[in-house]
Amino acid sequence: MNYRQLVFAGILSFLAFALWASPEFKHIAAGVAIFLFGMLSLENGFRQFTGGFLENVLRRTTDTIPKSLGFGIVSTAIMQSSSLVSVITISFVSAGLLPLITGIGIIFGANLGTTTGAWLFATIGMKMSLSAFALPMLVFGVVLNFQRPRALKAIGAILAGLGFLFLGIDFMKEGFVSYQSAVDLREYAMTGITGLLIYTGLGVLATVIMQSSHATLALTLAGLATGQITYENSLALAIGANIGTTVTALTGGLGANIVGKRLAGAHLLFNMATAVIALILIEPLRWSVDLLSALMSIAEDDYTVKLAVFHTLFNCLGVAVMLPLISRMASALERWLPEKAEEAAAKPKYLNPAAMDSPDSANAAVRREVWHLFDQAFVILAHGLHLHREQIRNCDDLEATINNSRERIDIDIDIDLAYRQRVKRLYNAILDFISGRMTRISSASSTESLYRLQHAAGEMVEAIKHVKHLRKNLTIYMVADNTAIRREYNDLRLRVAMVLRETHRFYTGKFDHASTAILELDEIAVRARVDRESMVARVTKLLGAHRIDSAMATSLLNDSAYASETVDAILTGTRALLTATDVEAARTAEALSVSDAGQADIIV
Amino acid sequence: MGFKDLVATFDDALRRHDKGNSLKRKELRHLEQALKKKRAKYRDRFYSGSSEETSAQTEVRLRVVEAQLAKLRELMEEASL
Repeated sequence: MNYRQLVFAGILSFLAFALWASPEFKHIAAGVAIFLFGMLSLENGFRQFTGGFLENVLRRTTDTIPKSLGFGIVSTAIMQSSSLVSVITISFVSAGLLPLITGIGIIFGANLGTTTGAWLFATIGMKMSLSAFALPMLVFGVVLNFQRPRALKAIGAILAGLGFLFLGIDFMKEGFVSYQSAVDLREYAMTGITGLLIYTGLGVLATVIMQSSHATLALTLAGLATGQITYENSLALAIGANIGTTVTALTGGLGANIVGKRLAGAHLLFNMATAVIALILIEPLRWSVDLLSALMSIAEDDYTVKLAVFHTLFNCLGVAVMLPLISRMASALERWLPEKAEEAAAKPKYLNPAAMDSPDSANAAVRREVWHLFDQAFVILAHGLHLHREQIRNCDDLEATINNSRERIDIDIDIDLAYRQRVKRLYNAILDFISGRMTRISSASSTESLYRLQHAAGEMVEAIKHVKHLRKNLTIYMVADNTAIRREYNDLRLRVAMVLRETHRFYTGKFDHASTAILELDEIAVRARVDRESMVARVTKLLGAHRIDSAMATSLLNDSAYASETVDAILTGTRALLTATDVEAARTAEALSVSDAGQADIIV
Repeated sequence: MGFKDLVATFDDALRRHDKGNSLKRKELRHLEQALKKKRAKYRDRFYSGSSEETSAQTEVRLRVVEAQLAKLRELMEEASL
């Protein structure tokens, strides 16, 4: 048992003891657990709606900082989940679809959006008995969740989420009420700067443990409503919740690429700065809350609503202070968190407005950028096969390496995400550049060359999609105890890896003449075809000898088809890339290429 | 367009056609050389053996090159070289 497991076991034991020893604590803890489960369900429900809709809105409504701020506020207020908004923002910024500065604007907005949660809990949550709403919501939510249509399922998850959220708040309130008769928590109330700092620390701790500032706020409001927490201490807890929530963002940002890290950094800076401002200006803020409350006809002793006012006020103050500094913050983050060489490599290198001026420079720039795209795709394809790029390029005996190694590379790699981060940006830039060039006058051969290059890039993208399918079973069977199935899957890896190895030198420009290179592609294609057909024959034999079962056989045949489609896409892409170098000469070479029927004759 | 212009245009077209044919002939000759060289290399590899690949794999390569050479001969005949 390692250190982490020991600590975790200790926490679980302490929790079990506390739950057994105190029925009041059990009530509150159950409330928190139900509340958090509700948050998860709510997020899950909204996530099902994000398959296009939210992304479309995001793309259209975030071209300026005020718009991105508005998007952050509205989307978080509706979904009550700043983490979901942050995740989508990170994916958009990391794919180059949004600039960092706009992403920071959304994160600021999301922070303001979360303040609506405090209003929701302080008004509806604390003033009404929510179990009356919560239970029917849960029933309808679960019934809808069992339905087949995705929209109904999502609505069900949202309803159930809200139901759990309200039920959790009710449990927390009841827990604090019963605590009142056993222990008076007000005895632990603290005043002055010490109280402010200690309760801010407690707010941070509670949020880090529960991974939700909403849960800390709900818990604080429940304690405040039942008089177990003083108003003064509740303000510090709310500030602490704002700091604590950045830990969740930081944890998320650590696993993301550099843009994700920068956004997490912006989140941390914003929340820390806001918290420091709130701590320094706590007294003026309290007066402002009193003043605003009087203006809004909020009763002087209605501390739960006053806490919501305070929460909104100090977050608004944070935005007001930080918004003018947003571009400085973006450039500072870019300086503090520089891009790694690998990520910089995913940016277009050769396409620039100057290169568009003449047909020759435009063609050369696009050709180099397509080579660049091939190189980036090579990494994804290699990892898709659980191989390192260097192994494919330089290993003397690739077959033995594949057969002897069971190392699974980046087992959790998301090929789609890798594609968006490494290739899509280049592909977009290539298409944009070509369409821009097409509006100008060019010779027919130059235009054809550009079309071929566009086709080459498209084929490599197709290859990535096929490898994504191939990887699913490959990841399982390449480490299977059944040697027959393991060997066959290694054969599939070898088939694709060999094609990658042989075509690699073409797209790094290492060939004497494009025409002879085009003809060489026929040899690679025929070899892959021979490998595929011999595998089909072997599968039948292995099935007959009961060395693999029928499920394995069908998986293998399907995956063999994916491998062949990957190979075809790589070869077609490479052919298009080579023919683009000299369209006239390539036509002659293409006339000599062995057709599909010709390949079949050769194999026979 | 006058008769003289028509003749000039026709003349240009023929010149371009001749230039294209000459380019094609040059390209075919270059490819023939390259393919013959490759066939010799694969034959040598097939008979003497190689650590790079099995003899069956070399045989496949050899057949591909033979097929390409056969097509090349057809194209050369078409171009009446």
